[in-house]
This record gives sequence, C-alpha cells and structure tokens, in this order.
Amino acid sequence: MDARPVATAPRRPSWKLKPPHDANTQGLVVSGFGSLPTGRALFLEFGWPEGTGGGAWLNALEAVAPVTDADDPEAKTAALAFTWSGLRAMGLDRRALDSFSRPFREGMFQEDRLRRLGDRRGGEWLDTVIDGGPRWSANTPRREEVTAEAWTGADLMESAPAGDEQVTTPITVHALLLLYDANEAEAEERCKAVEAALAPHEVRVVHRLPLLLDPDGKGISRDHYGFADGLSQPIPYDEAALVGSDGKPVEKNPCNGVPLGEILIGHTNGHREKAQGPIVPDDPDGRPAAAGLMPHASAEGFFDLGLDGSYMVVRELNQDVAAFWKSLQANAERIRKRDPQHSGHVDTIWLAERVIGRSTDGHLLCPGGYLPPDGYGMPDNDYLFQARDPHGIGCPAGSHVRRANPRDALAPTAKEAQSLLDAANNHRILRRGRKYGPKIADPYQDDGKERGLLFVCLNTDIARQFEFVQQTWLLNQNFATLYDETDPLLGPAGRMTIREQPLRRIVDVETFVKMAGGEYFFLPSLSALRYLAML
Amino acid sequence: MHEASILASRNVLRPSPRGLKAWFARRLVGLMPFAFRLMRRFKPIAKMGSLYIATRHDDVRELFATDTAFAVPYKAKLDVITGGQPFFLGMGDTPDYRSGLKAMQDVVRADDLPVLAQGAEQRAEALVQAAGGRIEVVGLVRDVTFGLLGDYFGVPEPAAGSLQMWATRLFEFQFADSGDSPELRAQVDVIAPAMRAHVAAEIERRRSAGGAGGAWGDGGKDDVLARCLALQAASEPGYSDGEIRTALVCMMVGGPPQPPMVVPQALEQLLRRPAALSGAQAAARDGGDEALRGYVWEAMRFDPLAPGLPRVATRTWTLAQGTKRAREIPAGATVLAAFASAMMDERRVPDPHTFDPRRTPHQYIHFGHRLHECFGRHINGATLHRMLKPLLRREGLRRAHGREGRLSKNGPFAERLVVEWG
Amino acid sequence: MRQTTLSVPLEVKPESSARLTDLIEALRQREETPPLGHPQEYARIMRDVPSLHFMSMSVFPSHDYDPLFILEANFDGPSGAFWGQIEAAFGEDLRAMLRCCKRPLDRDGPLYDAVTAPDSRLAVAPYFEARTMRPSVFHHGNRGMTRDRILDEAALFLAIRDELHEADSDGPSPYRGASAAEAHQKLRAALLPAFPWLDHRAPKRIPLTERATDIVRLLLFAVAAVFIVSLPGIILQAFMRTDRYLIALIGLMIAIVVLLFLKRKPLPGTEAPGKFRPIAFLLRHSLLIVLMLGAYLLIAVPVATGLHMLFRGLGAEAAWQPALRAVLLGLAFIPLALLALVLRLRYLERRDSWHDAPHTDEQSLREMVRREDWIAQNHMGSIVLIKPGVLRSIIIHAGHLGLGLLLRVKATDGYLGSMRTVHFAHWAFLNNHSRLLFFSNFDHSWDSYLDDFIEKAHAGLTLAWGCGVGFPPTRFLVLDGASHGRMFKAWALASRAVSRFWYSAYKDLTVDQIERNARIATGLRRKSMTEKEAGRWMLDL
Repeated sequence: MDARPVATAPRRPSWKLKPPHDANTQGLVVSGFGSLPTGRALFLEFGWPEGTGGGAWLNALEAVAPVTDADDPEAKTAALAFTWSGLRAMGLDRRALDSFSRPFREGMFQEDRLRRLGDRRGGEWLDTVIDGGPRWSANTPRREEVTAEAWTGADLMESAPAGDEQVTTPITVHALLLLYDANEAEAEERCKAVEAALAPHEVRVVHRLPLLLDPDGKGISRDHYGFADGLSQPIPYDEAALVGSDGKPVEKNPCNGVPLGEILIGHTNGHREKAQGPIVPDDPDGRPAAAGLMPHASAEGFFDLGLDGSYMVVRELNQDVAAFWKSLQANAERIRKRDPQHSGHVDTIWLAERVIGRSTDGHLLCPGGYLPPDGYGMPDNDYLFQARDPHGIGCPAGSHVRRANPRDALAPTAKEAQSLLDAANNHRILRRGRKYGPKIADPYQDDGKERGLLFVCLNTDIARQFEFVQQTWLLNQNFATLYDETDPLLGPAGRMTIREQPLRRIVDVETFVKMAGGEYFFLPSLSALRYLAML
Repeated sequence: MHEASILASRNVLRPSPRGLKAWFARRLVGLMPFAFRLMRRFKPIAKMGSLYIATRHDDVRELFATDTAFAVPYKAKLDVITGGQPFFLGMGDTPDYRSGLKAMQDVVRADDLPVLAQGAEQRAEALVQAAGGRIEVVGLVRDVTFGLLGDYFGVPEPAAGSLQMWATRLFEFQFADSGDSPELRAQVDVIAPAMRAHVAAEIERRRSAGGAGGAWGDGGKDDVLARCLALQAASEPGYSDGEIRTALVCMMVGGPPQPPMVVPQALEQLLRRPAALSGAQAAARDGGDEALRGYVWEAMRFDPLAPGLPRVATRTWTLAQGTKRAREIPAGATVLAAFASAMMDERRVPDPHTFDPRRTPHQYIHFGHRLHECFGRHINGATLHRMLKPLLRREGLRRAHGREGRLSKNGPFAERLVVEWG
Repeated sequence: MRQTTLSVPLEVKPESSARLTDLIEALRQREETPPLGHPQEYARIMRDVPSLHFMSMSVFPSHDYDPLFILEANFDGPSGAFWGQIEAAFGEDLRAMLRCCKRPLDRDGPLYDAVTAPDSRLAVAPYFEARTMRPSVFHHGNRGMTRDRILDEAALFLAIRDELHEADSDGPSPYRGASAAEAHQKLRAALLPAFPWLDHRAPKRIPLTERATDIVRLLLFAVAAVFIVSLPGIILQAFMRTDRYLIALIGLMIAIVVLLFLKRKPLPGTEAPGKFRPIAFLLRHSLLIVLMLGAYLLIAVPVATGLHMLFRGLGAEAAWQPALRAVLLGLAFIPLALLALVLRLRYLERRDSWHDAPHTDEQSLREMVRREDWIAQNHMGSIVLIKPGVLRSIIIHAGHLGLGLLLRVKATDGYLGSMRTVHFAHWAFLNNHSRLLFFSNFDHSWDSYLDDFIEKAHAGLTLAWGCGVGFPPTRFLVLDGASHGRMFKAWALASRAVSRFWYSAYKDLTVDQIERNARIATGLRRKSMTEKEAGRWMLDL
C-alpha cells in the first residue's frame, strides 16, 4: 500500500521539476529514493527551555546530513520536516505560525480530528490504535491555550463553550529526519554522526525506525503481507514548473493526472488557485530575502515561506501479518464449508487478493481475471472502474485499492464517469512511506516482532486530501453503497462484502493494522530551511 | 314505582325512549361527527344557547389543562349521591383535593394492575367459554367489570337489588343527565341512600369480622376496603368510616358503569373494519397485549364514552387566546370540551379517519387530561382490552344475524350487541 | 407519503441568547441520555414523534441582526399532526425557549403573550405554526419514504444478512448453489413471518396526483415566465409594423451580443474553469424548451384570440390572426430580453465584491466541529446576506421559484446531478428577504459534502447561492463562482452556526443505503422473479 519508487521506474516516463523549483524543493517530493534501499526515520525533540529556541542546529545537521534537493539523484539523501510545535519551539514568528493551515496548526491529535481519522472516539482509543495509545505525536498544545484573544465568557450573547480534550503521547516529536542510504552500515554510521552533531544543540533523537525498501528486478517492492506495493501514485502536471524526465512537457495523465499544486505549495492546485502556504514577516535584518524566500504575492511585507514546500502526513502503522493470513485462511475454510459445490476458487490467496484489490504481483483484479501488464511490463495503473467493473465483481467495491482511490467507480452511470474521476482526483496524495521491521519468516506464525509501515504522504491541503481519503473513502461505513463495513486492511474488525454472482460472500476481517504514532509535518523548501536556520 | 320495586329492579338501563322525538334524537347523535367537523372548520368555539362547545384538539386540551379557570360541575349532584360528604372528584386543585386523591392512591395501587388485568381476562374467558358460541357483549363486559371491581374494592352485591343497576343509575344521574330528569331524580333519591347504607353496613361487617394479622374480614382478603380499614386502625387521616364509605360509593358509581359502554362500542367499531378486526385478533392470539390495547384504544376513538365533558368557567377566560378563533368565555358559563371531536381533529391527529392502532398516546383524550384525568385510567388501561381478548381469540368471530348483531344504544349507554363464533 | 420541510425563525432577545443556548443544550443532553430500559439515544423522540426524520435547533449570531433562533424540521405528512407530537414530547421545553425570544410586533403578538405567560398551559404548537416559514426551494432525498418504512426496510436488510449468515449454520448454506430466482423464493419464505408487510404492495412513493400537480405547476411557471418576458414585445408590436419591429429587434440583439462578447472574459484572477457549458446545456435541453414554448402557444393563442374578440368585437375568424401575430412577435422579443438581462447582469458581476477571507469565529467553529462526524450524516445551517438591486432580486426569486418547481419534477430518485447524499435540504428567505437561510441534512463529512458540490454541481450551486453577499466571483450567473473551491468553502463556513440540537431518526443510513434497502424490499415483496431479475436484485444484498 505504499512507497512508490517513482525514480526507480526508469522505463516508464516520469517527471521532474524545472529550475528554479528543482533546486528549491526537497528531493523527497520528486523521488522515493528507490535506489537507496535502506534508511532511517529519526524523530527529533528539541530539548531547550521554552523561549530560547533557534535554528542553529540546522547548520550542524547540514554538515553531516544535508537535506537533498530535487535537482539530481545523489548517493545518500535526507529529508527534513517539522511539526507545528517544533516550529514554535524554534521561535518562528507568531504571525508565521498562524499562517499555516488549520490541520497542521492543530495537529493530528486534536480530539475531533482523531475521531474523523478513526483513532479515538469519546475519550477512548479505538482498536486500530496500539494498546495503551500511540507512542508519539507533536503534543500540539490546545488551541485555547495558544489563542491570544482567549474567550472571556463575559458575554451575555454566548454560552460558555467546553474546552478541548488534551490528548498527549509519551514521546514528543518536533521534527522528522528521514535518511536514505545504500546499505545498513552507511545508514548506521550516518545516524551516529547526526546524533553526535545534534546533541550539543539539545536536539535529541527520541524515536527511530529502520526503513526498508526491497525492490525486485522491476523496481517493485512488497509490503510485509507480500503484496506489491506503492503502485498507484498521482502524476502531477504543470506547464510552468514541471517537465517529463525526458525534458518534454508533461501532458495531463487522463487517469492519474493532478495539478502540481496538489503536492507542492505555491503552484496551481485542483481548486484552480495557488496552493496556500505559510508566510513570514520581513524583519530588519532582511533574513527572509537573505535565505532566498520570495516576497509573498498578496501579503505586503511578508515573504512566502511555503513555496515549493509541502505538508507531510506521517503515521506509524503496526501490521499483524500472521493475523491477516490466519484470519483469511479461517474465512476461506468457512466459505468452503458453507458452499462446498461452488467455492472451489476460494482460497486464502483469493481472499487476500480481494481484500487488497490486486494480485500479489500488483495486477488489478478484473471480472474473470487480472488486468494485463502495461507496455513496460509493469502493473498497469491507468485503469478505470466504471466501464470495466461497475459492480465490483472483479475488484470488490470495498477492497483497499478501490477505497483508497475509487477513480470513477462512484459514478452512478457511465455518463457521469468522467465527472466522478475528476472529482476523485481532487483528493489524491503522493505516498512516500516505507516499511519497517524484519520480514516475517512464516506469514502464518506470529513471531512477536514489531513490523509495519511508516506511512508518509505529501499533499498541500491536508483536509481535502489525506483526511478526506481516510474519512470519506477508507473508513466510510457507507462507502459505495456498502453498509457497516470499512477498509478491510486498515479499518477495525468487521465485515467485507465480496460481490459474486449470484450471491455475494462476506468475509469477517480482524484488526490487522494499529497506529503507533502520527503527526502532520511541514516539509519546507530549501530556502525556507535556510530561513529557519537563521532563527 | 314504589321504593322496593325500584331497588329490586333488574333493568340496569332505564327503558329507552320511544317515538318520533327519540328517533330524531338518535339521528342527531348519528350526525354528530359531521356536525363536529363543520364546527371545527367554521366555528371551532361555538355557542349554543348557554352552552359553549370547544371542538378543536388544542382548545379541548386547553379546557382540561386550565383548571384554574374551568372547574368540574360535579359537586351538586355528587352531594346527592354521597349525602353531602365531600369527594375529590368534585373539587378544584385544593389541598383537600390533593389529600383526598392521595388517600385513594394509597389504597388503589399500581402493582394491583397486573392482577386486575389477568382477572379481567379470566372472568371474560370463563363467561365466553360457558356461553358456547354466542354471547351478548354488553352484559358480558358488565358482568366482568362489576364482578372484578366489586371484589377489588370490597363492595358485594346487596341482598335485595343489583349493584349493576344501582351504580349505573347513579352514574347516569351524575354524568349523563343533562336534562335533569325528575323521574331519574326520584329513583336516585331511593337508590343513593340504599347504596350508602349497603356500603356502610359492609364496612361495619368487615371490621367486626376480622382484624387479626393486619388483614380484614373474610379470611384476610386483600381488597381496597381492607386496606382502608387497616389504615384507619393505624390512625392515618382520611379513613374515617364516612370517608371510606364515600370513596367506595363513588368508585363503584364512577368506574364500573363505563366499560360496558366503551368496550362493546370498540368491538362494534372493530367489526365494522375487517382489516382492523383481523389485526386485533392476531394481537389477541399472539399475546401482544400492548398491540391489542392499541387496537381497542383506536377503536374507542371512533365511538368514545361521550361526545364531551362539561366544565364551568370560574372566571372569565379567553379560549385560544391570540388566534383568529379566540373567544371569551364569561364566568359561570358551561363549556363542553368535545373530546370526541378533538380526537378527530385532522389539525393534530394525522389521518383521523384512518384506523391506525399505532398512534402516539397524546392523540387520545379518552380520559380527560391533567387535573381531573380519570382516576381509573390506569385500571382501564390494564383491563379494557383484556376483557375483549377471549372473544377476539375465538376463530370465526362475527356478528349475530339480524339487528341484535349490531350495537344498539339506549341514550348514552350501549345496550345490546350479540356476536357468534366457531 | 408526502414529506414536509419547514423552519421557524424566531428573533431572540439578545440578553437571553445565552440562556436559550443553554436550554437547547440541556434538551440535547436529556435526549442523548437514554431513558431507563432503552438502549438508544433519542429514544423518546423516536417513540413520541414518529413522523420526524430530521430536526435541528440553532441560534444564529450575526453582526447585522440580533440572534435568530431557528427550529428546522423535516417530517412525514402535514404539519399539524407533527406539531401535536412535538407539543406532547417537549412542549414545555419549547415554551421556555420561546420566553427567550422577542415578542413579534405583528398580529402574532397576543398569541406570544398567551403562550409565554407565567403558568401558561396553552399549547405552544399554534405559535410555532403561526411563525412557520415555508422553504423557497427544498429537496428530499428519499421522496415519499416515511420514517417507519425506512426503519422497517433497514430492519429487513439486516434480517436478510443474518438469515444468509445463519441459516443451517453448521452445514452448507441453503442459499448457495440455488439459482437466483430460487434463492429469492427461499429468502421470501424465510422472512415473511417476521415481516408480514412483504405480502402487501409497497405504498406508492409519489402518487400520480402529486406527480401531475408538480408537472402542471412547473408548466404554469414556464408559461407565466415566457409571458412576462415577452410582454414588452407584445405591447411594442401593437404600435409597429412587423418588418420594422423585427429589424429593430435584430439590430438591438446584434448590438448586445457584441457588447456581451467583449465582456465575456473573466476579470483578471477570477477565472475558475468548471465543467459547465451553458450553451451546450441549453442545446441538450432544447426539446424541453420547445415543449414549454408549445405549452405557452397552446394557452396564449386562444387567450389572445378571446381578448381580441372581447375588446375589438371581432369574430373568431377575424380575431385569431392578429392574436397569433401578437403572441409570435412577443416570443421573438424573448431572446432580446434575455440578452439585455444578461448584459445588465454582467455589468453588475464585473462590479461585485467578494469575500477572500471571511472571518470565522474560532469558538463557534470549534463547537461545530465538535458535533460533526459522529454518525453517517451531518447537518449544516447557514445564513447569508442577499445582494441588493432590482434585477438581482427578480433573478433570486424567480430562480428559487423555478428551481424549486424543477426539483420537484426532476429530483425524484434522490440524485442531484451525480450526487445522492442529501436527505433533506432547503432554502428560505429571512428578514423581509434580506437574508437567505440554508439547511441541509447530508451524508458523510461537511468537507466531502461541499467538495461534492464544488466538483460536480458548481453551476447549480452558483445559481442558487451566487446571490449571497461575498460569494466568490461569478460569470454569467453560473460560471466560476463555486468552482473557486477554497474560497467558496471559507465563505460557506463563515455563514454557518452551531447545530446545537440535531436529531436524525436513522443515524447510520445514507440516502443511497435507504434506496438500496427499498430496492431489496420491493424485490422481496414480489412473489417471484425471473432469473435475470433475481440476479440483478441479488447484487444489492
């Protein structure tokens, strides 16, 4: 379900940014660094006392692990992103902090947001969260604590409001450093160097995950369950800022094309305007200009802190591989027992493929078989549902791939297919996650080790993109006229309907994925990073 | 008629009036629903002679709810029945009213209801079984009700005469004698003292018969009279001999004569509607008592106890204030709260002409509303449908052939309805 | 059965606003606490107000007006019975709320006094009835489905699911291996005892009379509209020779078209290309337009002939020719009139202001979000100011009237365009038509609801809401506008109020789900099906 290595699919046309954006944008935006199979996620906490702050540690980091731009492929790469509480701790101007989008300012662990993301409800963590609650977040303070004009209550007109719940995690994350290396030894060495360089600045690594990508010959990596992963990504287009990797202009891909502004702040987005980002006020030292920030187009006296940056959603998802396979095995047995004559085709793999919506090799399920590979021998990703499989007879209506991106599947009739596809493409995310933890030896045997996916995605409007996908598609109990069921892979234990003719089958799925931590990050441009280093 | 023959009469109802005038009166009653409909539409608060009539749901409710301006007119006649002893039915919302009501509520308890309900059904079942294929329903319900409630209150049949006839005649005098018939008054002047004496003698007999172990008389029977005597012995206020007598007389006069009116009328309405009847029969067979009550209540809506209940304005009051139909009722005027009309008011009762056994409770105003809401409403709520249950359970329930198979009425009273089964 | 949608706006005494809010909150908390022996929230309302589908109570603060308390209700059948149920369920709560509201200065004042007097026992329902406001446009997602039918059919769906799961649970399922038609028969037999209504035909959702009335009303509206727009032409032609009249008409039209062409471009920075093509839309509906004109001719020519006979004393033979001429030349005037209106409108549009960053109160935003996304549906209430001007006013009112009638005729299967997410929604004019109220009870999140409109129905939305002050820049009434997705959302958000009390009778059912359950129930009501029908039917299980 993740980590599409865009840059490692050389045979298929890809895209890159035009100058000056290529040198200003973090490399993670244009590439999943597929040529660097190993990596580390280092979760940083700023240990300095409140009110001191500063960005000097960024200079120290620059010396040992410089953040990679989107210019050219490099031998070892790094990406750096900040939480709102991290930026505040570094002393970013109050007006700048207020100019970030609401989800980022409030953090993923705002109580109403947790409800919509399916993590917490009515003060209780749900089953899709690890026991005892998530380990890490930014611990963003509640809005009422940071709002300057706090509500006084001395007004006859309004009734006293209830406060938010403060949801906290044991670990506080202020920044996330992602390192990608060619092998384990180099990765380990660079980690040590980073830790050593940051320690004097009171920046500590409070949580870490070893990241792994193991692409096969075709550049396809498999997730812990064994399914080819990260196959479907939006393909951005933008006349001004983007070209194909062959240098030619990129036409809008009819199936997966999205405006660049869906991924990169400051470019035209799906709402036909420049994707909005944060701004910073000019100061007497002229720091914004010195860092290379551009004056903001509409905010006089402010500079554009967001241009060529992005919002990055991160969720650490523990996966219970053995539970997945054992559960489907039991389901297959039950189905065969209940329908001995007509269930010859139903086995564990068959069910698992229905849960995902693709074959283990990544080919889409179609009525009567699989979607053939594309011209490059890769799983074809330029498909639509409405014409091929409107009722989900092949690829179940509630399967993971169909929920994660329904394309035109929600169109009531073929006439509306294009309109629904366009609508769906207003909610795409660029995924950059990688798996962590060891491979499982026997997928039917729980070895007690933690493994999973560090889900990472980029988008410019968290509410319209990531949160929409999670709430309205993946965890929607009424998605596509289904009832009382959610995403079979990510959601809580429940049902999954698999349509067959004449009569559908229902699989009882368990909770396979549990969230262990998560937060919204800001992935700054390189000029914004330079500005932050001047704080 | 001399005194003894009045008391010994077995004719529960007075002979029905005959002749052209009576015939017209019956036609007029038949036209009532239509008249009410016109009044609701064109003259919701009408004045006829000295009588005001409120026909809309909202206004009927307002009349019942506004006991601060509209009092019950029962006191004068009630005094004739009780021999001048006060009873809470005739009072306004005073401390006396509340203590009187409380004294009764302490001896007529909610936990008696399941027993009463079961008793009603058993008695009816026994009578239906004994009848063997054909029964007169008014008599059936009357026997069940008087037997059940007589036992419950502790009032036995008098040696000479019939409790059914005494109580029904007094009931007619109290509630259904708007013309103040001298003939009826003459009978009441005989029956009322006899009734009081009968109850007083029974109180005395029970007190002298027992007292051991806190139970009173007749082998420790637990009835309302026994409870009253126990409380009297415990020196609770409100249970003097006179008060107990008045309460029992009033209970017997106010309560048991009503079911023989509304229950046969409900069955008649069911018989007119085959779909409703089969629904009620299904509920009776499945033991769905709640559902069955829904059917009986709804059937009663089409032919309730009376067109309305009277109230007397104790001060000048504007009914339906602030609306176009607002009307000032002068102090002293009598207003008829036409609850039969209110329950047919399409402004509040959805599809009033449709038989719908699943209506919400507020659409019914069978037992009044607020302060003087029927004391026996809980007993009625528990027992009325159970009295019909044994009949409804029978396969092939149908009207008897000819005129006796249709409910006949005598004035406000149901008189005769014969049904067959099997 | 027909459903009713209404709202009751009541102006609030500003000093009592907080008290009113507390009363509504208290009512919500009481209803959310299940009574003893009831597993469900809102069980009392479910039982005592069985006609109710959705109901809300909100207090709208405003910079331009005193707070406004609005009770919105969507229910089965006529309103009197509904108010009777509400009265019985929480009449006294409503009375306390009424005491927080202003006494109306019109003829309802005495009623207000009577209802809010100390120790008043008068029913509050008549007051709410007197202050009820009918919507200018409304939409019902599941037309003609009573609440009880929705609940019954949902129960049937669950029972079918259980039956399929549990029948002979230790051995092979009796429903597998059978043909679809057989499985249908078996299911019907298994479920009939618990759902005896399967033996009856489904009540008609939209009775023929209702349908006919809807169509006739729309046609009458069209005829009246055509007449009014052609009226100047009818008058002019009486004083002009046909050829001169036509030449003048064509000359003016060419002039306006040129002017329009010059002004067709969006103002710099306000373009938001959507998918809506007005010309193509008109062409696609040309048949409908011809039909409407035909209906107009059928009515107008005889009427005009009659008038000629009456006033000029002509015989029918002599009268019909001038009558036909007048009607036809009047029709010829319509394009010119429309073009002139559009030109004037374009002039106004180019001078409109819009709201780039509407202010949203942080605190009330919090209160809204806190109440959202607990169940499958959500609720929004919004009030916006209406742009001034005669032309705008005419467009808004004629537009709402026409749109309302059109929705009744066209939106009979729950779909608004390609969306089927709205249970009950309505617009209504407030404060002597200076403000526009919007309520919606919809499926999924607020964001997804608005995204749906932005992405799939921006033209209709712009048409209906573009008259609001601060709406994103529009072009030719339907272009751009709501396609400015972020701006539109910010504008809509700022106009909202907290839905303090909100009740849904079927919390986990979407419009789509209800229709699916209806298809299943309708299928199971049938005694038998062909194999093909049964196959299609079973897809829904």
